[in-house]
Amino acid sequence: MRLILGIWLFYKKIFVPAMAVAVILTLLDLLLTRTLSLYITGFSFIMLAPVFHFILYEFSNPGQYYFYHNLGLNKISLWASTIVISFIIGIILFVI
Amino acid sequence: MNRLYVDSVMKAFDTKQVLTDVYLTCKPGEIVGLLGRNGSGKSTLLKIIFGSLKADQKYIKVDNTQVFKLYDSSKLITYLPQDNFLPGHVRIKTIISAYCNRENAGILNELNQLKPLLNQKARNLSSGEKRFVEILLIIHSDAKYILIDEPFNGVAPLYIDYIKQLIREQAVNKGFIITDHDYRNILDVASKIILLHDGGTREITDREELVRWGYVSGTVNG
Repeated sequence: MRLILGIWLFYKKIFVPAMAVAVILTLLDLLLTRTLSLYITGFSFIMLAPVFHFILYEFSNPGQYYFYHNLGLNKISLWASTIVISFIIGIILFVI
Repeated sequence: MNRLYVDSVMKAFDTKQVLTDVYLTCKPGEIVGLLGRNGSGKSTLLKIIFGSLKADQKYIKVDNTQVFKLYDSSKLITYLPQDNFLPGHVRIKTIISAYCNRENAGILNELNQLKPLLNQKARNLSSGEKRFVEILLIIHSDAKYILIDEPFNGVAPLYIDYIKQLIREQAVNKGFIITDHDYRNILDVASKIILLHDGGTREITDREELVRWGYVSGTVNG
């Protein structure tokens, strides 16, 4: 249970900025093409989440990894969670 | 045998050999004070024991289980690094529930020093407050062995004695390895002193030995 909470706390920080940028890109696409495409949102989100993971953790706050290490989450599992969760959310947006 | 067993640790950074042949043990109930000059490898050693830094060579056992990497020791060892590590976007009460079992979370939630901070996000705390919260979290975590790097750095003097008292209380069932440049606090709280010198460990039985090994100058007081 704590592992899930740890992954959620880790991912929450990535989710908001990645989704915000994905929505902005979708709105830009809407302005250009006059059609709303959640495919753009999903694809952007899948691409952006690992970028924000890198910026927010690897680049800006590498020390915060220790918070998650103490919960039993190493870097590999955190990167894997970012990619898997982003992919799932992206796929859901594709389907919609 | 119930103990944290660390042996044959070697680590070099480029051409500098930092740790050459480290040996130390820590049993539940023991507070091991790890002393050493700047750059002697104290933090490096703690990171290697924790598993977040790869050693050139190491042999680490927790009780009867050999530990190879971080994942192996996740419920056995926790580590307080030198720098703040709390995620700024999370509230302190959520952090407590992530780190501690229900009993210890209850204890922390009832602490007068923590009550005003519980609903705040970590980013809104001062460095000293963050450090205090981090120390309390690590001390009250479920792990059997606890590694603490510079716990007294940046903490208000008022809280230092309180932290030492908490460490002594929790050390009944847990083993602690603590390092800090404020060696007087380490000497005060530790039940065993280990000096890192020239990449190796030496157990210190007499405070005057610290002078002989060149860790402190003159007579050691207090």
